[in-house]
Amino acid sequence: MIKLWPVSTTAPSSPTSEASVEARGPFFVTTQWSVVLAAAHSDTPKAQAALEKLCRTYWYPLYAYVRRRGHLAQDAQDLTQAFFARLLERHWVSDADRERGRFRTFLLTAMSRFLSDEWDKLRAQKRGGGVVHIPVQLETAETRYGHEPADDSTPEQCYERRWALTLLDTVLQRLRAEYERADKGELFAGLNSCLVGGRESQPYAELATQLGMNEGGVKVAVHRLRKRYRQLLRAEIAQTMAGMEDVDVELRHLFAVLAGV
Amino acid sequence: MDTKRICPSCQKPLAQDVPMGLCPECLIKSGFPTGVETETESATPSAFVPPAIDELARLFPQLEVLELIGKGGMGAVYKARQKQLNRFVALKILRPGIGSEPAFAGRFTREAQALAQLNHPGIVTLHEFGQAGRLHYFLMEFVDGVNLRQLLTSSRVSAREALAIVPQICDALQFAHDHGIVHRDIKPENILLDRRGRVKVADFGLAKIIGNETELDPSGNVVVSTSLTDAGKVMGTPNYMSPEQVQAPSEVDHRADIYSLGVVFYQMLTGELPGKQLEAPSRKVRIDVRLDEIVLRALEKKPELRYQQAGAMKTQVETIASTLDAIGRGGNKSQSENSQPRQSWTTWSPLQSPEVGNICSHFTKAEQKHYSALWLVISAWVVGTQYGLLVFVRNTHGPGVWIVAAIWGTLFLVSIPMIGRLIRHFLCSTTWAREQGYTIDTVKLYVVTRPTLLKTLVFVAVGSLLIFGDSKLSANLSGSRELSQSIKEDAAQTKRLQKRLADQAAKSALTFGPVMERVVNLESPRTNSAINFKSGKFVSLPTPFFSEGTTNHEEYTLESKFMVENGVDAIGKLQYLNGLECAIGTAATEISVSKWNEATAAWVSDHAVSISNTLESRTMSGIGDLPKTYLFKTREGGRGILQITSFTESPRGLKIRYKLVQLDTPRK
Repeated sequence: MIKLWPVSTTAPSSPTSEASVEARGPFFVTTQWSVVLAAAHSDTPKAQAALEKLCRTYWYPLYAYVRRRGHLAQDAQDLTQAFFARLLERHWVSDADRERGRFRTFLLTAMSRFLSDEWDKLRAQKRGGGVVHIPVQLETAETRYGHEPADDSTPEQCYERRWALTLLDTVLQRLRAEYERADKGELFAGLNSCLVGGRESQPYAELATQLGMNEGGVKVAVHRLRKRYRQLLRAEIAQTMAGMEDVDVELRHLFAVLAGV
Repeated sequence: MDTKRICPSCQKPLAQDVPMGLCPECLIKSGFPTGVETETESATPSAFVPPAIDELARLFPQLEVLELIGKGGMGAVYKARQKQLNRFVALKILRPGIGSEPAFAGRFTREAQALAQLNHPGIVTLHEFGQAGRLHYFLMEFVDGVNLRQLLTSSRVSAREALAIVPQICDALQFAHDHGIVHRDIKPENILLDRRGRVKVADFGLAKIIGNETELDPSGNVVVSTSLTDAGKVMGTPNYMSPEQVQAPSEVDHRADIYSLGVVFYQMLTGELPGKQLEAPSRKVRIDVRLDEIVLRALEKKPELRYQQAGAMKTQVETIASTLDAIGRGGNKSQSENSQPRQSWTTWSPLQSPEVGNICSHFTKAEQKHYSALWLVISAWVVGTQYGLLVFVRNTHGPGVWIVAAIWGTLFLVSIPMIGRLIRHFLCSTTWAREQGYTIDTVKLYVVTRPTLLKTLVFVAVGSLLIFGDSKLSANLSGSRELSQSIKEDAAQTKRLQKRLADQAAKSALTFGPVMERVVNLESPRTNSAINFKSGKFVSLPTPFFSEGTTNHEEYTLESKFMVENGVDAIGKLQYLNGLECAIGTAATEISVSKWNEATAAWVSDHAVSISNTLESRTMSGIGDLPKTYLFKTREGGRGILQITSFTESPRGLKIRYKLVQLDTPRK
């Protein structure tokens, strides 16, 4: 009897491509978004938690989008609040057919649909009563929006850019937290500039003197840092994808978005 | 003044809201795996970005495209569901760039039609092909499983599993070859295994049609179609390509597939690809040596030397698989008690087919006992009836005898198929056979091939000899016994003589022994000493062996002696020594071997190694024309040959490598 591989419930494994082993990474059997999609017609607490987590991370790009659409600050806040309330009541995930692949596109489409259909209706009726708990910090929203570069990008472009930046921010915060938990906070602070640029172009010697380590040790530490960053980045991207969508494709998209600005 | 910060890497200005003060573009760039080019999606002629699912959903309204399952240089594969038929399919999209080549359309169609001819359980079926929008696509059978590459990287495939997989691949290949189609790209990625362990060979995309297609040229004459490959373009994966495929890609035939399969088989067994120096798999892992033969034969560089048919390879593999002795020792995985194969008398029987052997080796203890009992009964029946018939014929006379004998014989013949059925019934009722799904109709008891036929004939001959021969001899009891005894003695003696002759012949065949290596410490040479090759030590020889000094080479005969001097790297003639002691010395000039009367010129060199007289040269390696061969004579008169293969300097002294063979032993 041929021994078979462990069976995964959501994603069948994919044949190898020419991409390097690193590119494949661990198999993301249950990403947050895939959990949400999988539970489209039934309410499981797991799916609810996953959706909340996603919303909590990525609400700001949506806010930026809404503001860029021309809504005023107060309106935008109400709007975002209502949208997420609706989303968390899971009215739209079951319709997420076309946009299955990515949470990013799903969110955008859902929001634009919301803006055109539902918002008008909702605005008409006074929403009083209990405050629904939305996992977004709307108070800070406007302040952050103030920092947005004042250019003439479309709302969609603004959303995409913001999404990319939010992603990076999340990943970096997570990376920093990891290092701080391991008591390596200073190391991270000293080396985080090494996350950009090629491996050869890092100022190892300077850093070595700055941090009081030898150059070899610095090189190893930087290598580890970059590797861990890559893993976290890819993991975070994968969380917003449903299946075996290529993380590289999404990365390239994000790169294009940021380069275009 | 508000100075804008610049990213140290890409030199672009940094906006205010960048995460941690780092340039976001560069951050994303760092997210790519090392060695990957970052190009924007629009401007990549070479990097292929698989189309998004939404786009595909638009192009294929009849499909529900579920997800991307694989990507390669040629295109991407998605899992989809045919809405109407409600079945899963694999949608293979070819890279957009491919479609723009002018010759492509013809190739694409031919490739698809070739694949469509192949309808086999071991080959991934092609449902449809065509063009949707600007994309060329194939719609194929979806195989719910993994490919062999994934199995290989996750955990090594055990020999037992390999022996289950390879025959299925052979089957598929044979089928394709019979239809004139060569796969040309057999590799682990293209071998899929579904959840039931069935093998499916995929991606016959590089199929070459051999002479199956005819075209008409402009004037209406039939032209045999040429291959699909462009001249000079090599298709296939280098590691798995046969030598002829690498050199002349357009001229390969089906035997290239057999080579590729050999590589895959090798990799399954050993976990590695066969290197430049092909090492037998049994040297690397513990498996049956017979598997070596199969693998090595499939990996022959010359196509003529390989298996000429995939089916032949399959038979060999299955034969070994049925005995399964190998697998018990070679498997990496833990196996359940029941499926542990057992070697027993049942697997020996000459006539039986591999399937029966297979089933027999999976008997439980109880089944084994029952089977033995069954065969005991059957043999008793056969022997009893035969012998009884004989006795009857011998002891009764008259015309009726033959009639009775004929009836008896017929009855016996009739009982044979019933016996067969009984055996098959038993076999199918064993646990293992039931697991495998054998039924009375599918189990073949015997396989008539040349080897089994031969074995059967031998069996019958021996049997009849026992029965009839014995009865013959019993007639002339006394005389014959003595006769047979003397015959036996003669035979034994002949054998002994033969052996002696063979030994002598072997000795005179002069195969060198293994290469031996000795490090000779030259630190403290003593003048009257020689080096014992056995121990590498200096030995002192009695003085008659050394003369006063050496003169010119004319006077060097084999009786002269030599001395070892420090740091000199040469060997002159070897001399007499006890057993394998040889004196090594220096010779000022060349020495002619022809002085030795009985030298056989064929393999003895004419000149000795010419030595450098300068004591400074300590580099020993490869001085002169090595290897050098010398005759030597031991003290007792035995003769031998010494071949020096190399000298190298070693920290401990001089390392000499040599081979010895003794020509004849001293006459006592």
